[in-house]
Amino acid sequence: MTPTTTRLVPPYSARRETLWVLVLLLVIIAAMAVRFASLETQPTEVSLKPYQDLDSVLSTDQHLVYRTMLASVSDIHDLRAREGLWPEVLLLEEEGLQPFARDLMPAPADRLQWASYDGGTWVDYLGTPDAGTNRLSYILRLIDLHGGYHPHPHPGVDYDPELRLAAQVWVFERPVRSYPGERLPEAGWRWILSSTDPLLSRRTNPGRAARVSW
Amino acid sequence: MSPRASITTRLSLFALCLALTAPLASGAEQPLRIGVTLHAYYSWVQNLGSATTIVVPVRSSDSDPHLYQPLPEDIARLKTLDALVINGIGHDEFIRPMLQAVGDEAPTLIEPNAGVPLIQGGAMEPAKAATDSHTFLSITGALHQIGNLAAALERLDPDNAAHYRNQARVYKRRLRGLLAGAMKELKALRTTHLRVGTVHSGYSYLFQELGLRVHAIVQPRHGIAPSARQLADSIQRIEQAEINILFTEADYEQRFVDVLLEETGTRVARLSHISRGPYRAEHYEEQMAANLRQILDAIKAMQ
Repeated sequence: MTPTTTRLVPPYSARRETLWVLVLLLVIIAAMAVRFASLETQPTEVSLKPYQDLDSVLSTDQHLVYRTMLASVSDIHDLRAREGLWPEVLLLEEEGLQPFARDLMPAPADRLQWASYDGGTWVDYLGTPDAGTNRLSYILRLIDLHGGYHPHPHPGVDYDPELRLAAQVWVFERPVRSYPGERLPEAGWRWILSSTDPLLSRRTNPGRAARVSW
Repeated sequence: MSPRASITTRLSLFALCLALTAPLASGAEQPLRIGVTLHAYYSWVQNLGSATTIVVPVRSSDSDPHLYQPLPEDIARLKTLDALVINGIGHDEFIRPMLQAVGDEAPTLIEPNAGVPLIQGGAMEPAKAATDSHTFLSITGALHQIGNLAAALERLDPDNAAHYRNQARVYKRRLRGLLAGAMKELKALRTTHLRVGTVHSGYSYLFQELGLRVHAIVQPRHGIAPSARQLADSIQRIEQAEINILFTEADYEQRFVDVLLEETGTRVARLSHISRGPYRAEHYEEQMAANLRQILDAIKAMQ
């Protein structure tokens, strides 16, 4: 006859089990929060240079001037290809290109005075508002990337090598009395970029090539 | 017909055929097959390409791009394309799984929105809203994208580059004419008393280029018939923002318009979203002209 042994088996601790379930829940919630936060921040992860801003800083009126300047780039490129020179403001106005053709622009964008400054391989179109207002001044800078000399800041390696023409829009916070010259960042001008700018998508996602060029 | 007259007629006909096919004869042997996801792109490519392209819509003309479910034959059609024009910023998300399905046989993508400035999606909270994908609902947006499209076609078909450039110039001039006419009329009208509301944010591009501020966007979700609660919410927004002119969509059901009219007393006009109807080269111009006319007439009625 074998001796009888007694083993005590304690019941499951409801307290401990509840604790583990709570810990597990907290871990899941924390993981979800981290994932959600990373998704929230992804679209805004763009690396801007100190003198660059996204176009979301512009008001509705200013954004329209910005939009129309960029929309005119392919036409200016076309005119230059036909004429052999960067087109002057008068020609842009005659061709009905916004924002130079003021009858196609609503107020107050229709009161900007435009002038061009031909740098040979690049050109600046300067738009100035009435003196004494607190409106922005604008520069549309177009650079022939196949030309010998590029103005500062140099377009650099960020551009698609197949691109012929680089377009930059710069703004200054008030009316300017004179043309600021080549070095815009040093003169306090800000370069405005849109979130769809191929420059930004190349910088943030090198795998996606720009598919359009002039 | 005398033998001499017959020969002359035949020679004339031959010369005419040569003239009509000149872009093809000097360039690609076959016209490019360009797929498009939206009605606007159909009109644009048709106007740019003319004889050098065959434009192939990837969805049926009466389907809603927001709700579209691709069919197997739609996916098979992608394999026959040389290139595909996509919105790429949220208006044709149905195309992503289709492209994945065809894998390596996917056509070259053309994204005319590359570099096109976007407007935030919701006027109520612009800082938090996502960008809006309806860049084609404005003349300025169209001009920018047509320039991009022409450049992309030049790269695909360099032999016909001059043809695409010329076509783009002519087409853009017509579109600018539409805007110039509207701006001339608008500048003669008083607009300071207007409080504009729209049923969705896509029309913000059009109102921005006309210099008209959108005070409220009242439809919670675009493309879906509003529930009773959503309609009540829209009415509340119209009243809170003191909207006195509301622009709804042409596709918006009349019974919803009637409710808004009855409850708020605001003036209502309809705009086209340019997402339905037969695929035609003239479709975009006609719809934009109609949109501009609707806006101008509504404002004139409030003078």
